[in-house]
Amino acid sequence: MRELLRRLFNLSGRELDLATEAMSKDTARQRLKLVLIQDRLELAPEKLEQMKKEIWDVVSKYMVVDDDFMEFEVRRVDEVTVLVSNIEVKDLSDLTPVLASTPLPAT
Amino acid sequence: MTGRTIVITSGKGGVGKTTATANIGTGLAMRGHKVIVIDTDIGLRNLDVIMGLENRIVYDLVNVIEGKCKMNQAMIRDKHDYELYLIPAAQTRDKNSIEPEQLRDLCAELEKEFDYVLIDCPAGIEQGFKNAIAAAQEAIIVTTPEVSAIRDADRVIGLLESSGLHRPRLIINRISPEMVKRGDMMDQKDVENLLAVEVIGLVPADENTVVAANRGIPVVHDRKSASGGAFLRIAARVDGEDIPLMDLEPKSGIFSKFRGLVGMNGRAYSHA
Repeated sequence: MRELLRRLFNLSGRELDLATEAMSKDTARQRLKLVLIQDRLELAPEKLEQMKKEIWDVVSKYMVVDDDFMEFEVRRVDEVTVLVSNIEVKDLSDLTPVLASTPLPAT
Repeated sequence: MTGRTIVITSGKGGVGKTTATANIGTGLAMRGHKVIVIDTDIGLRNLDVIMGLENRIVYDLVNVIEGKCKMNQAMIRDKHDYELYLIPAAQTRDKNSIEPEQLRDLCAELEKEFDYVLIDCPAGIEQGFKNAIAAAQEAIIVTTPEVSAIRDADRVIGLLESSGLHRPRLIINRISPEMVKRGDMMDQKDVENLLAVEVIGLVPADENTVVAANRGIPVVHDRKSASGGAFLRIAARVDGEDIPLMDLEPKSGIFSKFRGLVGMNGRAYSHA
């Protein structure tokens, strides 16, 4: 939630920079768009946490990633609701051996 | 006769639920219907003062539900010559004094006698809200073009949906056409896009509503006032009439007409 608020602030700040004469109603509309998405998300926080963990587990099978750094949130980008996740890759040079040593799951 | 029970709700307080209930109720009665309005804001009643009926209260909603009086003993007839009645809320009890089922049963009884049963819902989404929405088949949401009111309206729309009250309709209250024009207030389209519900009425900010509340005479009695006219049109739409939404124009006084003329002249010169 705090992360979302931070992003909200950044976004509206950026938009204000882009349009120096931004009408306050546009700021209101943009802010509301994001707040409503967050409010409407009916997935319980623990479910969201579980999904986050599972995605992290899958990615870490193929890459060496940071143990605790993961951004994970629902956002609205150009009229589309998207799930955005950023995972820090710890060591790129470790990538190949890890990939080679981890057998791909049977499809 | 089977009447329609409609809840007027908002989530956020102070956006005009009680005013809307009084005016839509009066508007429907002015159209010749038999109407009853119920104040379910137990502990914080106000529909009685907005309608100017505060001195006539003997029994209230909780008395009826607890069987302390007969249903018609708690009905207060409006001062004007319409088939309009009020069941006031209890002032010295709390929201837990009634159960959703009890209000549902009461409204089912009232529907046999009235064309319209309007429920004035308390602010919030707790027990009082749950009581109010349980009895209704339709919902009208009141909001203002402000971020906090719209956010709460969206939350309420979600809660109504999950309670089986689909397709609520929206009143956007206290619109300032001047602020909309200069881009400092969200307009109908903005609010409609955000909330994705049908708009049933646009009510301009109007000093007449304050005067009407002072006097205890709903503003809809003054058909020529901007907000009175708006509420009368909302009542007609609730009643099934197909009246297009009017664009709210900034007040056109002599001064702005004069400015308009100057503007036209300016354009004429620039073309010359």
